[in-house]
Amino acid sequence: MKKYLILLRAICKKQTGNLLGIFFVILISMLVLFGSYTLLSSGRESISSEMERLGFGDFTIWTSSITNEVSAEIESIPDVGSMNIQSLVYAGYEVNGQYSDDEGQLLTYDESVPYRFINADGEIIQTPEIKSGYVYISPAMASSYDVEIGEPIQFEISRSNGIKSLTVAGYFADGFMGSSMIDMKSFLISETDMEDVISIINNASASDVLGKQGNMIHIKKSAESKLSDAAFYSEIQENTQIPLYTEFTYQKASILNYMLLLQNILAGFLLIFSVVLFTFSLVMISHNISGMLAQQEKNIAILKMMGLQGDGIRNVYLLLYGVLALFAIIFGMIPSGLLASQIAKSMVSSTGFMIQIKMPVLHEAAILLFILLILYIFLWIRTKKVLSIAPIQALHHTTDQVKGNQSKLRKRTLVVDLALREVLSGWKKYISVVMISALLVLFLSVVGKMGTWLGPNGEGLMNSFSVAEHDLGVQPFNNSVPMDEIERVINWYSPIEDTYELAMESVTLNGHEYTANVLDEVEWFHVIEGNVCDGNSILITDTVASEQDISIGDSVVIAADGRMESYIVSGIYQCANGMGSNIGMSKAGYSKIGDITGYIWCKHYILQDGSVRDYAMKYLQEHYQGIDVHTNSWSGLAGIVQVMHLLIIILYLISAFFILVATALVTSKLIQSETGNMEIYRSMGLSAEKIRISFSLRFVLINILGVMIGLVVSQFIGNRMIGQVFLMFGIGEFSSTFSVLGMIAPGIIVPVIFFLFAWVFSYKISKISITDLMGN
Amino acid sequence: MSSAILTGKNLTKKNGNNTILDHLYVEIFETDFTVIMGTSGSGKSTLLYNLSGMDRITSGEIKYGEMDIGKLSEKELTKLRASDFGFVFQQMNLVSNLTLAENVKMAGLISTNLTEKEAIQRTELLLEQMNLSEAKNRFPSQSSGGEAQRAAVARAVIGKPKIIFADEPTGALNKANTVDVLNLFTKMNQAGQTIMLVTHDMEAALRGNRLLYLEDGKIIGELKLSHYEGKNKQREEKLEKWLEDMRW
Repeated sequence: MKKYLILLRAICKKQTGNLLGIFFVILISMLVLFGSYTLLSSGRESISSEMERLGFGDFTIWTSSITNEVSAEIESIPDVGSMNIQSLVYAGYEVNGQYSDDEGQLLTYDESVPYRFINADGEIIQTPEIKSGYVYISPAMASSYDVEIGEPIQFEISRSNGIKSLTVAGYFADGFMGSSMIDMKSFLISETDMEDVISIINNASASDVLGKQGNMIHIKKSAESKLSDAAFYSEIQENTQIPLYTEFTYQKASILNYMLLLQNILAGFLLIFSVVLFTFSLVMISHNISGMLAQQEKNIAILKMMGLQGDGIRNVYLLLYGVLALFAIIFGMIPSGLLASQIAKSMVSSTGFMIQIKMPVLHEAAILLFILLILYIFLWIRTKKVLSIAPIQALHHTTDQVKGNQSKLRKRTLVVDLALREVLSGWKKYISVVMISALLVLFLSVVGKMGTWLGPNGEGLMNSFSVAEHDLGVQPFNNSVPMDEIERVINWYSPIEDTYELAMESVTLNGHEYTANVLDEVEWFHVIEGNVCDGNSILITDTVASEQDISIGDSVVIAADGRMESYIVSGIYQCANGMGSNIGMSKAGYSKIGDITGYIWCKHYILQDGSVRDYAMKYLQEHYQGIDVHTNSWSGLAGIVQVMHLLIIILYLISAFFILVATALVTSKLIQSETGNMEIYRSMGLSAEKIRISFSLRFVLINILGVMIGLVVSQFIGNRMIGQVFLMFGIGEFSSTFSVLGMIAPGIIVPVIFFLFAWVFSYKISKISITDLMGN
Repeated sequence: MSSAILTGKNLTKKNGNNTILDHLYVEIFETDFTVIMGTSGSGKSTLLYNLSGMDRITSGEIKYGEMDIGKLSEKELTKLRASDFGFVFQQMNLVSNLTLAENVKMAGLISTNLTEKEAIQRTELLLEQMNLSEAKNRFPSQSSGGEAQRAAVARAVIGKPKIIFADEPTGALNKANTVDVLNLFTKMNQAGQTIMLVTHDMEAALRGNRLLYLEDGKIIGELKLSHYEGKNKQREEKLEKWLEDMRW
């Protein structure tokens, strides 16, 4: 036993630097893995429990003011476990000159609903007293509307003198609709202000009033209920008068998905990245073991001759790397909660909610065991060579015959030619670098693609979430609007590439109210499963499919304007309007139940240069009456773009660290094995500086192959890879074209980082003393 | 008598408490074939490497033209090696992943005295002169010791250096290869090349026209001979006698 310990100590002593490098590589990959997993798991649990704590049910129905009779009807249903009604006022608002797309809901703050108040970092602060004239908002509004504490928000209660201006006093954690992914927002105000708002509503005439009183009804299924969510909802709809009052309804699951969308995408990508990093760690371990065994071949043979067992020596290596990995994993796990917490904190302005980080201990223990198993199998395979070293063979071992490629050597390009020669003649030594570079370029390119798709203003996400892609939408409200002239104006800004028409009409599907998105050219719908609709079929979103428990091929009844018709569900499509509560229809299909001759059509324009759309919109708004002009954007995008940028920065920083470790390990090994040649070059008069440049250039040359592999693979599977991750989190549409960020940037940045680190680590070359040649 | 190309004054080299060169004075003359002899540990290789700037003296002055080699920066020494000095080592020290021809050519490309075209032409010429035309595309590990050492000599001479420093160049060769390599040195010297060679081999020593004997870091004897022009009994006896006097 003792002899093996001596061997273990000897290896540790000689390989301290390399082992430390591997330790940190595993540690970082595990930190990212467990951090992102903790974030994913804590997010769902945290928001779900917060919703529960605040009294939200399995459903929440937004209504106009209901009567006691309706609430009694709901409570009398046996499957209803509990019900909680909150009074509110719906009102549009304006912040910093920006008008809200959806109405906000003003809620009186009272202690019966235990809201948590937070600061801008998401930290919980003492519950304040809400003074008259002040309002508490979701921190997501800070990124959506660029609003700060102390700034006013104008709520539009009535047209004549009905603006209620309230000053932002602080933030509260709105686990229900706080995320920037949800346009609908809650505002906590004082009782006095609420009385004032209600008084404005009550005193305004029907044509003057803008605000509206209503309720949020949170309904929870009883524990004994065996109904599905869809059946439970149908039971309430069928047995009460609630449909007469309903504005909209959301399931807890739908809200949860939207609340978590951002952190899930971020954590999902970090999770995949951690797998890339773990693969990277295995490559580095493999590189290290093969290098070490090549170096120690003779020593191992001597040890075997002395009577040490091959299995015993192999176990020393297994023990060494196993213990190293175990400690690295544990040390990576310990601060992973902190990492998750920091990410959650940095996303508060987008998620509108501070996720309470709780490490899923059991899951993480299972992951730990799984990783250890993979590592053990990997190490067991990689150390197999120890058994095959025959003592006598190794004692007669001479260094491998060096053969090389005879690439050209020229005076002017000697430094490059020399680098190329080294790479070509010793390519096996660089396989690990090629693999690492390919993996990093692949992943960074995928992230770049995502950034490109998202666009500087979040257009990609918007396209994916809106009914159909467009840059500008113009809806005329009367026949005096000169649409030809408007199109000429748009053409001044940018040539129009394509147009189509969209109408958004209220319909019922099997008796439940939804918005029907009607297109004259149905191929613009973002169909993610099944086929596009026609005159006899419709498209539904995932949300509708789950709420109504219907799927492709089912028959549904759609009604509008007193007419109804049966349609087949032809496919699932992507549209996040109203948090997914909508369906897609063709113009021909809708014409069977609705009037298509009114001013319901909004003409959508796709411009050659989408960047001018805001200027075009402003011009049209200022110069034409009777039209509604909008672009394909919404206020929450700023937060998402911010999160994406954060993700890209994190990934580049981690990549840089991994390149640092990889170059440190590879360069030290290369310099060690090439010292002799370098001394000879120096004795010939080649300066240490030129040798260092040539040495560092090798990493650029090797990277060319890695970059090519990474980019080609990214080109083939990148879109699919992102698509799959997005699909997991409810975004079904992804497509990306060539981009500088996605292709050129990683292809340049990765080799440059390799070059710089190789240059730094090759400082040892300047220290090489050519007097060693004498000793030879 | 030709002028001194390299002068070492009061040279001292210490390695810890061990004095390897002890206040030594030495001159190397242009076109001479200077041979340094001495017992093991006498400091002969150290003298060669310090005079050539491969190693740094502890104190003293090494004059090469106007330059004090001991005071040159690493960059200046590198330039000097690329232009004025050529080296041949006992262990050949060829770059392992370059062929013999490329080892020679590489030195030509690094040399500041040659254009690329000249380097290529001289490589071919030298390989032919060194009888390496057949072996030129072999890598060092595929070549014999003699071939490798002949390539090392060609590499040392390709850049037209002012001085060639050779440290036991035949130490690792068999008799036939030793003669071949020594013939090359003699031929170069006859063409006017200054050579400084360290050896403890009589055969090699006979090729010099000036011999210095080192003991305990000091030059204790000097012998002048006529230039080597083939086997000469008288020269041999003179050398033997001198070495006997030196208690070799």
